[in-house]
Amino acid sequence: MVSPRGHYREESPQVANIELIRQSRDRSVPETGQGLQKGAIHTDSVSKSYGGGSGRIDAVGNISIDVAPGDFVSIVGPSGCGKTTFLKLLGDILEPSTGHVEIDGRPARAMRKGRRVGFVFQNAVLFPWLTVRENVTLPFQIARSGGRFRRVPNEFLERVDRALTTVGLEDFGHRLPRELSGGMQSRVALARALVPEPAVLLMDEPFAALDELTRTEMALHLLSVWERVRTTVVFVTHHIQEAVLLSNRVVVMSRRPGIIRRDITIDLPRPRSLESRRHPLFGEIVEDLTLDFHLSGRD
Amino acid sequence: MHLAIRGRPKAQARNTDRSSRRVLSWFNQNLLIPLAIFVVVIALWEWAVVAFEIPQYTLPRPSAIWVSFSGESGDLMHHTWLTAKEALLGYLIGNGIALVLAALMAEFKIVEKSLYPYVLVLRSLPIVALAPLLIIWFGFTIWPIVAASALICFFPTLVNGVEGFKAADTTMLELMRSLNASRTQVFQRVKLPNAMPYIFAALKISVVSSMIGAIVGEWIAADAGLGFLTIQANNFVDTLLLFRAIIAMAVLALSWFLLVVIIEKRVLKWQTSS
Repeated sequence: MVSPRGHYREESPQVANIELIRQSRDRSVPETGQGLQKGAIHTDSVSKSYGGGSGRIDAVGNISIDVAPGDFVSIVGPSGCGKTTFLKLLGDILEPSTGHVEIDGRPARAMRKGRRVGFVFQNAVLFPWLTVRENVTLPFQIARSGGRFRRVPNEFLERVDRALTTVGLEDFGHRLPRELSGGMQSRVALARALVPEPAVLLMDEPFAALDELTRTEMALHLLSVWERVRTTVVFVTHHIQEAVLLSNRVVVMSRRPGIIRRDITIDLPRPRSLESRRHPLFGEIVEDLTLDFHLSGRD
Repeated sequence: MHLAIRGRPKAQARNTDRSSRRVLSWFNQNLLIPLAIFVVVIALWEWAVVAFEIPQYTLPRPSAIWVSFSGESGDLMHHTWLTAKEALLGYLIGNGIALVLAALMAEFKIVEKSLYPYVLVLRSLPIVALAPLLIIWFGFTIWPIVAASALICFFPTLVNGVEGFKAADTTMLELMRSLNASRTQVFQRVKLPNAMPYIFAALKISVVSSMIGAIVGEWIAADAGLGFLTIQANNFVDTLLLFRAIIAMAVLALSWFLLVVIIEKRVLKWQTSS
């Protein structure tokens, strides 16, 4: 489908599902470093309701979506539309009421248990009693210890150090989280999510608590990290400019119960930077999405 | 060479100056005002006893209390050590059981539902009413006093512990789920560290509680200890002895409290200092 303005493609959710994997291979979606496709997400009529009877709340309607391996998809929508709930369904933090989620052809639960799904939350969720390095080592600690505190082997600790270098915090490993700025804390959370090398990285408004400047800085940082690691990212945000700058694809959700209203492919060239904002297409998509965003909020 | 030899003592002197200035500043900020109040109160007390001719059996002069310590300190130490032993044992047993039970109650709803009514009943019983029963069970040993002390500090620690274990941040729990952490790992790595501030608050409160338990226990079933001394002082209208016992209790409770605060500062060093 072509947008009325003819500059960028807008897919109906159904068509988008079929088209996506092909697009990702021949366009801007990167291959993984090892040449293996990984992180393909498939959801089939996934919904989530809370409570029962007259007090039942339908948070997420039926959502069927496919995300190609290594893609960067943003989900935008009005507050309370079920974006976060949907992300938690993808990561098996919540169980769907109907439908199912698959990652790389396996149930989301199996992928979570195999620690193949990374999660970055709205707040950095760092353990204040652990140093930055210990926080990033946590996924390995948990994978190894089985309830007891065992030493993490050096090869894993080297991966922790590499992750800290990737997010530019190699000199802050011994610090406590409270000694870091908000932006630095977000970077630690990103390093912790990346260190087990997940197939899918789910990010729930990770920069929402940051000021505008730091937020932009973090978005650019995420871009550069993603260019290197090429893991599949599903990024929930209510910041349209951020979504357009980062993503290959933006999914707009309706008000509760959240369903997919629009699914837009962002054809901005990569690698992207702050300069990408000057691209005529950037402004056009942002303007269109902003209008749509407000309309979806009023429906 | 000459300069180097002369330079080192200068640098050392500078460091000594800096650390002594730091101690002085800490003293000014934390101790100066309380100490000034103490001096003023003692001076007023001394003056009032003389000015209003208050008899010693009603209120002795601070200087008289101070003088009365000489020659009695060995005996006082014996009684203080006994009370400290009883209170400390009660403190460790009461808090230990309370924390294990709090963890079980926070982790398993069935345990909480089954035990909470009994805990409340236990709480509502006055410790003095239970004392005769404790004597029957444990005899005239230190154990009924230890039990009284343990019972009195049990409840606040249990309530704080349950609250602390349950207060873990939901997002942290979600993070642990995303990492496929086991129940034991979630408890060890999230719930327990998260409950530490609550637990230490209870441990500080129960320093005084366990002392009260031990002293009340000694009133009923002891022939030694600071509680016993206060009863004896009362019988013989020996106000000086009463004051000596009270001061010993205060010093014991304060040192113990400070010890818990020091441990708390070390364990919770990740918290922002206030």
